[in-house]
Amino acid sequence: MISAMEVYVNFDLPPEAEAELRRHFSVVRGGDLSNVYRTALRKYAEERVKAVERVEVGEEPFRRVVYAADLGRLTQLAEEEGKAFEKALEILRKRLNEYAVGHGLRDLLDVDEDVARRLAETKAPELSEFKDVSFGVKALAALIAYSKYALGRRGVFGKAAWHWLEVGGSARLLYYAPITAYLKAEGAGW
Amino acid sequence: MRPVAVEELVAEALRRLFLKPGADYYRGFVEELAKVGKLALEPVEEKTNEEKKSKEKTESYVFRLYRLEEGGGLKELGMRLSIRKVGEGIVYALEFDDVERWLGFFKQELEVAVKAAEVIRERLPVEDRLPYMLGWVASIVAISEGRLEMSTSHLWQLAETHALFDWSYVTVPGVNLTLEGPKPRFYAHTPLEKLDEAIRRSAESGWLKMLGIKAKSWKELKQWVVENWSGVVEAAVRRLGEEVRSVLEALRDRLNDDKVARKVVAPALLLIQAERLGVNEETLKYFGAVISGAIGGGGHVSAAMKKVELAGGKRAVALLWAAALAALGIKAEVR
Repeated sequence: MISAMEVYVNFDLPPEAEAELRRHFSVVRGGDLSNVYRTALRKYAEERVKAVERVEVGEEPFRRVVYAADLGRLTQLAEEEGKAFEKALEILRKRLNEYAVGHGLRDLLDVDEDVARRLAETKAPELSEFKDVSFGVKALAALIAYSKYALGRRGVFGKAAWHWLEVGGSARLLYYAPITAYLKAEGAGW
Repeated sequence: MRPVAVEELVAEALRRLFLKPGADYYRGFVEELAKVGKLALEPVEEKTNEEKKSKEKTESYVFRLYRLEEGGGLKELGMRLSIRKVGEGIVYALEFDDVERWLGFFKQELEVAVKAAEVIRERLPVEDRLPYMLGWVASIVAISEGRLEMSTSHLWQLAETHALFDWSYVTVPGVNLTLEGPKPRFYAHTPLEKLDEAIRRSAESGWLKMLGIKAKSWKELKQWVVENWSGVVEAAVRRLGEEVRSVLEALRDRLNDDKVARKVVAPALLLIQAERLGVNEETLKYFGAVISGAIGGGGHVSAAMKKVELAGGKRAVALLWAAALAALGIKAEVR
């Protein structure tokens, strides 16, 4: 048993999946990367609104109301948000690959980024074609899809990621086949 | 549109300016705008009757954009931000008052479209351009006040149509702010004579000649369709049933209006083609040319769902397309 290695997931696992994960990893609750990324997204959304304010300009009697937007601040927030996402992706990719290479778990955690990106962008009819992808691919795809979903690009795996991450079931998202995760998210009204 | 603060809508619009890939493609434009530093957005009261009447007035916003200078002075940027409710969504766009000032940032795109059009023109498999043109006219290319015109945010549509219509004027009147970042909106127009010319050539030696149609202009082609409308209706009734008769008969009186006629002529000619010449390699070739334009302008092909959708148009026009497709053995559902 590898007890030193940590898996960052919000655990709400089916018992059989939890048993399988505990055979290989030490579980860290509440510290998953998607959560960190979600917190960052919320922060940027709040900061953006603060960068726009209603002000009065000009002298009487020509005084008028305008909305003043700090484009410098908005540019900076856009750059930081992009970097936060890239950083989350990079850390996730690194950790998954470390586990896979270091502990002979390539089958379980092998991360093919190309497949993950395709899964993140796939349409409903093709979702079942990804039934055999690894945990790692699903994790990476979930983060990519979640980011797109947060931006408003509503893909099907994004919908699944949004549902399972928002209800605190990120481990189920990784455990289920993508089509199952999506159908359950649909069934829950997301 | 859910009730949200104006500040939130403005922040969302400006966020989209920085989203990729658009922000990368149009980096020059985004950087130029970002240089402004402090942007002031002044609400503009829209005065059109349509705006006054509709509920949209309270849910849509237009702002004139200024650079907010030290001390509160405002310097106009020659553009407006519009935030409009469309269906269930919200459309964010920058509209240029001073088109020339901002055009330079999109010149490269326009040059690419012109070059692509040259390649497309050489590769069109059907020599007669009219069936392609009628397909586009039935979808995204409008006829208005003696000219053909089109507005699109897809560069490929600009290139495809330029290959056919040889637009005499192309510009970028604004930028849509989408979830894929900024996307320029292209506007093109050219005199209606371009279509007249294609009709003349087709009647001399192309598709119209094959159909036995003598017309020298769009006006004459429309007139021919009006005069032969009973044949079109009968053919449609044979394919779709008696219930479509009254809807299609009513369409005849509206064919003088180019807004209606442009959507009707292409499917009507396809139906007439199927009636007169049947389905064979030659007629399928012209069908392919018409439908490629119609789908290119207002439809989509889904390989995964194994279906093709044609969008836009009233029910009567959709029924006409359904009849034309049925005549070719293609099952169509009208929604």
